[in-house]
Amino acid sequence: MGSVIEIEGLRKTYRTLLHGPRQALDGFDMVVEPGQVHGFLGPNGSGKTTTLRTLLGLVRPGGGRMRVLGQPVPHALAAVTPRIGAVVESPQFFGNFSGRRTLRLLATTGGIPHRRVEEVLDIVGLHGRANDRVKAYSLGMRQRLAVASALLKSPELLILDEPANGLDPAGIREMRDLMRDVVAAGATVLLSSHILGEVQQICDSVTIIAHGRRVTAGPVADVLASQDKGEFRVKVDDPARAAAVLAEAGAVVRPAEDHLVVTGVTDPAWVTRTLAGQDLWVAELTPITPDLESVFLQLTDEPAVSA
Amino acid sequence: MKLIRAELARLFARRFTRIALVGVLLLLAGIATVIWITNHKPTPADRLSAHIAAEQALTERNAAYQQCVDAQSRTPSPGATDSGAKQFPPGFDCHQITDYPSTDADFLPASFRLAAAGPDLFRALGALLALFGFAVGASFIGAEWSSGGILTLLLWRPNRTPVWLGKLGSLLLGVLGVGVVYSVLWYATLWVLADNRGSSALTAGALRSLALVDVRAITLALVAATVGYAVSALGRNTATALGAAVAWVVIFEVGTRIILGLMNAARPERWLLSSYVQAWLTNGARFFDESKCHNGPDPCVGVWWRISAQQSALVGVTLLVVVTAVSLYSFRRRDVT
Repeated sequence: MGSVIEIEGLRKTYRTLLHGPRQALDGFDMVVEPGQVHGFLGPNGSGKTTTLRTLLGLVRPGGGRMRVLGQPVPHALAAVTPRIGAVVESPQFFGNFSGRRTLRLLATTGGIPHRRVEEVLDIVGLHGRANDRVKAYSLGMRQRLAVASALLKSPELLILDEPANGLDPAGIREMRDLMRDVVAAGATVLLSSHILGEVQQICDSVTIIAHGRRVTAGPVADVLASQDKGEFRVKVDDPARAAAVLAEAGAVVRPAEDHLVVTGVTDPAWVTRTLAGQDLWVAELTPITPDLESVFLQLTDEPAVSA
Repeated sequence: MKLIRAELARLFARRFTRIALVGVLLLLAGIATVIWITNHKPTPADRLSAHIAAEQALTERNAAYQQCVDAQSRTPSPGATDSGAKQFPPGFDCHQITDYPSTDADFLPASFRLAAAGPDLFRALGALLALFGFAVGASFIGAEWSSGGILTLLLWRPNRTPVWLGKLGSLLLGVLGVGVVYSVLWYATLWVLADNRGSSALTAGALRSLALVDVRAITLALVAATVGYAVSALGRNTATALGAAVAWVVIFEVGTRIILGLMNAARPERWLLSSYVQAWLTNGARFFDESKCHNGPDPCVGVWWRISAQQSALVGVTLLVVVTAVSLYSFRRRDVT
């Protein structure tokens, strides 16, 4: 089976009379393999939403090639849309309708039986408030309704843009479980999020975008490993002397508040052996492995939005 | 078809639509109440007294006519005080007295006659339906743009032309349905009013004429709904259409009328959309060109001129084509950001 999403050289320039042209995407590439949760990360204004909207036919691309579920888009979008569920940015619904009516109208539009509405209301945990008006919903409930609308089609590809916005910790966990269920059922999830810890927990692979270009992509473990500099955190009784010993032995040492950061070492036993040779005894030796947040910050050179 | 069904359900599920429907109903009820209060069916005593009054008026009129003829045939002597000569100066056309003979109906108390008042009341229904169509049409897509409903819809139906047309189609079906139902209700109400407060008698020709007025009224409502929808879609906001409507009234109807009046322009009504609406509803309208009235000391000899129903249809179709074409083009091309 081929890739679920293939984007090659995607370009988009917004033109406004007031502000002139602004390049949102500058030859962006992305590949999403089937049966995965694929994280899509990038700072604000990096082109994430433009990419998703372009994929879904809401924004006209300025150039490049896109295929979704094996079909060229936007040309064959009408054919693949019934197989794609999407939530783009903030949940968008008419406030005076109830959640149930909102979903039923969408189901009628898509020729989906109304019993599916009850199923998805159950899945997202909105059954008890389904007859309330949407404007009375909290942000989290609207988010659930948005996800419910995306699930109505029993999609093969689920595109979620910041689905955890407004959700409490329990809601975030439910959302995570839901994505796992969707993937277990054979679908693929493309997840755009700022909550990097969440992405690291749930995603099989990621694409990171900055300034409209892909800066890295691949399985999460590979992306993290690519940024691993072989750093260790070392605690000793006499850090000043230990630093001098390690530096003399060829390591790069950076003193921190109550420990040393040793870089450029492949074998942690070398640190223990070198220091022990000078009667310096290691109290703690921990490899510093990069997390997604630090990789993100390093690659995008932007402050990440914290969860 | 699924889209039209869903959008039709959405149209009538919207609170604004329901409020507007009730609003039109209340206004119609208000008109009906005024008719009920200010009219009543003549009793036999009313008819008798009206007949006597008409006979008396006829006698007085014949006497006046005779007096006029006598006054015209005499040559008044200088200094004579002939009351007939004073009342009917030389050259007065005595037939003016008999041109409009009084009938019993002139002396009956106000009563509501469906045949006479029906067309104007159906034109009033048309005006209300047009207002309803414009506001509901504008809100139907404008509020959906504001709330993000259009974005959600496009995630289900990415082909924009069918979405734009489907929503418009469901709107027009809705307005047509409302127009037909309200027309039937209005006719039934007027018939009951006429039966109790006047005369409900209608010849086949009068009934056909009333039906044609109603068709024109509903057509006007459909055009108004389309324009409201198209302008609102263009601005992606209900306020765009409402603002355009207010601007149109202030700039083109009031402002232009004042400026053309100051310029003493010939046939100023031809530049006003309201003239064409009026001509459409009344199957052609006559206007008096006053620009000739200020040219000399002689009495005004202005010219009557006419806007035909065909001319107003041409203006309406042109407006419709331009507005819908621009709106649809914009809907197809613009990014949803």
